[in-house]
Amino acid sequence: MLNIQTSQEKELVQRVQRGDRKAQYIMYKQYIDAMYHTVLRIMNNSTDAQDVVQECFVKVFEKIHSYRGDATIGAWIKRIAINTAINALRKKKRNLEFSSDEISEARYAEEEDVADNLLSNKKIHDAVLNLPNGCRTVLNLYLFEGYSHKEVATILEITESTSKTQFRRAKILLRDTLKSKYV
Amino acid sequence: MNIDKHIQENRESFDHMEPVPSEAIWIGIQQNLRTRQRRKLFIRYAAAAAIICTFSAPFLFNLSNPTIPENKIATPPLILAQEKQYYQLASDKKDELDFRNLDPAIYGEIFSELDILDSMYMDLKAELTNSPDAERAIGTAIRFHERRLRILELLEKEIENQKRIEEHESTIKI
Repeated sequence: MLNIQTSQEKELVQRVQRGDRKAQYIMYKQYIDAMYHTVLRIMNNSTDAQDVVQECFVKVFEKIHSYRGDATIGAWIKRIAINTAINALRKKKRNLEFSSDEISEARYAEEEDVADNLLSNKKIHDAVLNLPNGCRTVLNLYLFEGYSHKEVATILEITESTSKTQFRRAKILLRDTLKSKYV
Repeated sequence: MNIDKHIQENRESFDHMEPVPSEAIWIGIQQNLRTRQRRKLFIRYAAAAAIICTFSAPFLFNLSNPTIPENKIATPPLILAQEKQYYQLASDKKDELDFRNLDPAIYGEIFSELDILDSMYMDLKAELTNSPDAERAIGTAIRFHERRLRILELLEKEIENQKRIEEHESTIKI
């Protein structure tokens, strides 16, 4: 990931580090939409997403002194949001199971294309929220957040091959959901 | 078309699929930060008060121990004057902060700690006349006032910080 920080971003970070409440609000407004949707796709419901995003920004403002600029501030906040969401999922004892049942080997080799009329953002968004926790989280991290399978494996404490399998499983289930719901 | 490609090409629009309750979340963040700040503040003052209690305890023990013979040596007037001066400084600082106008929800626990310190000082003063070593006793009382003054100065800084935060919040429009 490229680390391109503008002087405005640097200044904003410095103001937040000094405890400037206005700067905190500017930073919050800048990232709230993206963080809320990232967390929502992991948590799967809006109440939990609100709690997690709140906890995430409290951590961001309290730990901002430890931000060294190795990654962009957006990437740093996103990592905190994802870790907080995954911890919250685990605390709730919701299974972060990485199951591979119900899908035959042959299906993994199926054609991946989907009819264009099914590819609406809203339909995909709703279908993603209906996926099982484990494969949904992998799909989110890999496809929506842009992490590599190696990074996904580190974040979720699974093997790289499990990440790849779960990603394929998520896509099969996603296609099935879109077809059964909208065809 | 491929789902991967579609999501990657439309990545940003997936961050605007649901209404975001940003106002409610922001209020929650502010409340959470304030609660944590109060907790930190209390821990800091409780720690300072604990230092004073520890520091004063041996002296109070000596004062109340009836086996120690009464000291007959007169206390030098300079030390007495110093003690009085420090006592006045701490009292003035307390008046200046005007506790009545401070939010007890934020500072209540600190007020209690300072009340305990005040009553400890009153005990100490009452027993001062029977002290086995008046000079040492007054020296301890001076250090007691210095610490108390330091706590009040820290409290003053925190009150200023709190005011600044409230001013910022009042200018932020959600």
